[in-house]
Amino acid sequence: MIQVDFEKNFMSWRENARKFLADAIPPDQINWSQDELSLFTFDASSQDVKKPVSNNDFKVPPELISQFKTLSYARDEDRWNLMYKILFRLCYENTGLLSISIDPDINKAEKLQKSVRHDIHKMHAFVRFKKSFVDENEVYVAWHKPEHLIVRPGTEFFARRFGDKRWSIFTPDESAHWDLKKITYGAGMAQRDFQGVDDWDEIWKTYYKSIFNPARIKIKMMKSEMSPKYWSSMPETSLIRDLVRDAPKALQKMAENINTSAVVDLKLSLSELKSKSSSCQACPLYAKATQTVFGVGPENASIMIVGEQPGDQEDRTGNPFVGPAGEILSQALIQAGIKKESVYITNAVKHFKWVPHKNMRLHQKPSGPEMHACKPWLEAEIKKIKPQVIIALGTTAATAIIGKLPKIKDERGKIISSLACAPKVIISWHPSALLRAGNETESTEKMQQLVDDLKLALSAEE
Amino acid sequence: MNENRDIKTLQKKLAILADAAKYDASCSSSGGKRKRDVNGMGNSEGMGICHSYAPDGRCISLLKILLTNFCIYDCKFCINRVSSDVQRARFTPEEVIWLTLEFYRRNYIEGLFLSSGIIDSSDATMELLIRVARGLREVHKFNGYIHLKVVAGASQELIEEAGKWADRISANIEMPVQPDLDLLAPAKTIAAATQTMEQISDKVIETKDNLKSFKSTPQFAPAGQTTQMIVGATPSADLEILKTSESLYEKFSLRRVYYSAYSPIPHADAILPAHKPSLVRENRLYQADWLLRFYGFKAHELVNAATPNLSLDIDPKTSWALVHRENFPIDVNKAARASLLRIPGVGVKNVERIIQLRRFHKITLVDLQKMHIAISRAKYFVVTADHNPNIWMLDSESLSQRLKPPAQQLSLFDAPAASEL
Ligand code: SF4
Ligand code: SF4
Repeated sequence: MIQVDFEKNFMSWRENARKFLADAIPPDQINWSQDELSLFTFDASSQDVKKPVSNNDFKVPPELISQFKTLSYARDEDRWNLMYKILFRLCYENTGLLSISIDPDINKAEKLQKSVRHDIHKMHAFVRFKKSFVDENEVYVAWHKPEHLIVRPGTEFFARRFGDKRWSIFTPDESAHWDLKKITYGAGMAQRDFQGVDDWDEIWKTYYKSIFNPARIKIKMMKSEMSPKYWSSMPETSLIRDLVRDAPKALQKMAENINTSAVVDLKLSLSELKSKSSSCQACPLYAKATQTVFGVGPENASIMIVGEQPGDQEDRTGNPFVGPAGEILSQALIQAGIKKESVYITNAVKHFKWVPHKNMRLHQKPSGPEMHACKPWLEAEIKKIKPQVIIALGTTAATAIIGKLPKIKDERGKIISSLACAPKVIISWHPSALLRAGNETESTEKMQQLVDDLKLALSAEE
Repeated sequence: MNENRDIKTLQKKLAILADAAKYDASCSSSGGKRKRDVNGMGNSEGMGICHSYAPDGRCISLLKILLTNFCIYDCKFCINRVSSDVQRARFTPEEVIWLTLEFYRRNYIEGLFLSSGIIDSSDATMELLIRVARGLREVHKFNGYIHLKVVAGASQELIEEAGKWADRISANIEMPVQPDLDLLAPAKTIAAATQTMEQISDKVIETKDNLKSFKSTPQFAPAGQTTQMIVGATPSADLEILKTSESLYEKFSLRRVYYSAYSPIPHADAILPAHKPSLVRENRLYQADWLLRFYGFKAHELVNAATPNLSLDIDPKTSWALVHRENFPIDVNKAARASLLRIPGVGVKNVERIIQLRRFHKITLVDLQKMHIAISRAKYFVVTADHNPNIWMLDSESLSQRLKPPAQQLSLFDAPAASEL
């Protein structure tokens, strides 16, 4: 048995292996393990060295060299022996050995290499730098515990990526230090001796927490990709336990919040829908209002007008557009030559929203969630009426109809024909915008535009 | 002191704007190739790196955030829609640059995946996204990975400029068919999304052609384009979904279609399903997608009018094999590559291994086992050099029963107790 005394690295192994190979020394005659150094001492003269059995000049494929290099980083005492065994068998037994992936030696070598490559990849992924200062120089330091002996092959990556700043990476076996020009290697360090703190760890944890979706939990998958053996040096992993524990609670909260829009049965007729809507409580608005104000008008109307929500008088009478804004709409319709009775008129939100103000009920704009909650009623009305043209008055109505917050000023006066709800949709001013106008000119102008838009609707319908 | 306060606001915004971005499935950083600039940091070496994993099993590779979650659109499936009362925030482009650089420097991430709610107009929003990417590249000489989401309806010039700075750009199709969009996002159209994809793919092709003649041609989204579809928010079947994917792959040479099982979001619309997303379905779609891209399958082979949905119990390849038993058994020592690819449990890599090995050696069942082929599935469908006692089952009624994984395997997806950790 030959006991090899070599520096445990690839180059040194190669030198020795080359000699042994030339002498055709079979693998089982060589002990590459240094642990037993004290037990054996090599006395070459006592060995019965065999003569070479082939004239092979021991050329091996270049990939094999790089595969062996990878293998040499494995934390496995048997690796040197395994490498030599493969080399020997390749040269003396079977030149096709390398493509027999089911051969036990090849198989083991492949597995080990894969494990080393995997470990290097995980080093690239899981090293966490912390900013620190050494002699007033910014240095980024990290402690990482790899599975294999990969400091050398594993840290070049960081020089390629972070070459513009100094960094140091410590592992229990060895450390690597970049000085802006080259990497030097030093002694290893235990985790407890590593002192690095960084405020950004907290920001990173905030990100980790926020990007996690509690509706999906796949712990096994997470652990197989990010093995707990690496966790101790990764700040975000301290959150995992709580995130998983609280996931059902977070989901529950989501589910409770979910039923905030009206549930509408489309099989009902228009009048049935109307009476159903009178008991709707899908959003808080029903509580302070007198009644729902559903749409009115002929079921076969080809023009549908959608406003924002009922006002004080609408709330009392139960009919849309009967107050001051309704007054303006009536005038505009007359000027445009449209009979009010021929049009289906409704609102995006069916209950009156208000706050008390000096004995009055002051109108308030419905919120997004309220508009959203009420939308199924509007959608049902559209489905029943099947209008040729929808005129949406004001931003609330227009948002509900076109699915996007419009700028009325820019988007009015045009026929939108790309929507599924109706062949043609037109956006215009809400009559109350005229009431709120700062001066006469503005209100006259808006009135004119409203009339123009209604005329456009009339021509579009024909 | 000042920086300290900024960090606090930054952290608050980050919580909101990362939360808002988490419904986007893609986080991949693959396909980028850039060397570090001598004056800066960052490179991409082709293969993306997952720097962490969330308990949802997803890879965290990029800083995935929205520039803002303010949005003028009202897409019902989206938590950022204008009618939602979600807490809003807005980063300045400088803040995003700052976050990206600090995260990258600490090796938390491979780069940035920036998307945004639409504010003012598509172009105005797109310009802000571009400002971030350009700032990172030009001012900070940052060569890490950048993925920009193209805002639907952005102009051609802005798409071109985005592709100049980004490694990857993508436009979301959101839903497989127009009626789904009509229902949930009336302001959006499939046509607009595919037009954007076409503009991107035209430019990618043009750049490739130019590169052949002029070495100095500026890069354009070298890592290509991807898109995302939300599944399970509408009744659309897998048939519609896979048909759409197939045509997107054909027309716009997409790198990937991401499928995102609809996650119930706070304050969702009542018409949307409130239950947990069907992760099994999502997984089956990915498997089917894989078959389209690498195994020579066509969508109509996997789903059709009679069975418009993929089986949840059995993977799509095995399902296909069960209905096409006349094509089996397949002789692993003789069959052509295309046939080998159809064997359940045999992946692309193993097909290559089989072809390699059979030149030297007659393949037996044990050999297949050693290749880590899922023999429990494959054995019913293959002829090997030795006797394979399982193929007599091929015509048996009970075969599909045998191939169903035990029910409890699916419960892997349920939330386990924290004590498991
Ligand atoms: S406003 Fe609409 S959603 Fe709210 S309670 Fe009234 S009818 Fe229902
Ligand atoms: S445009 Fe995008 S961000 Fe805005 S609501 Fe629709 S999906 Fe959400």
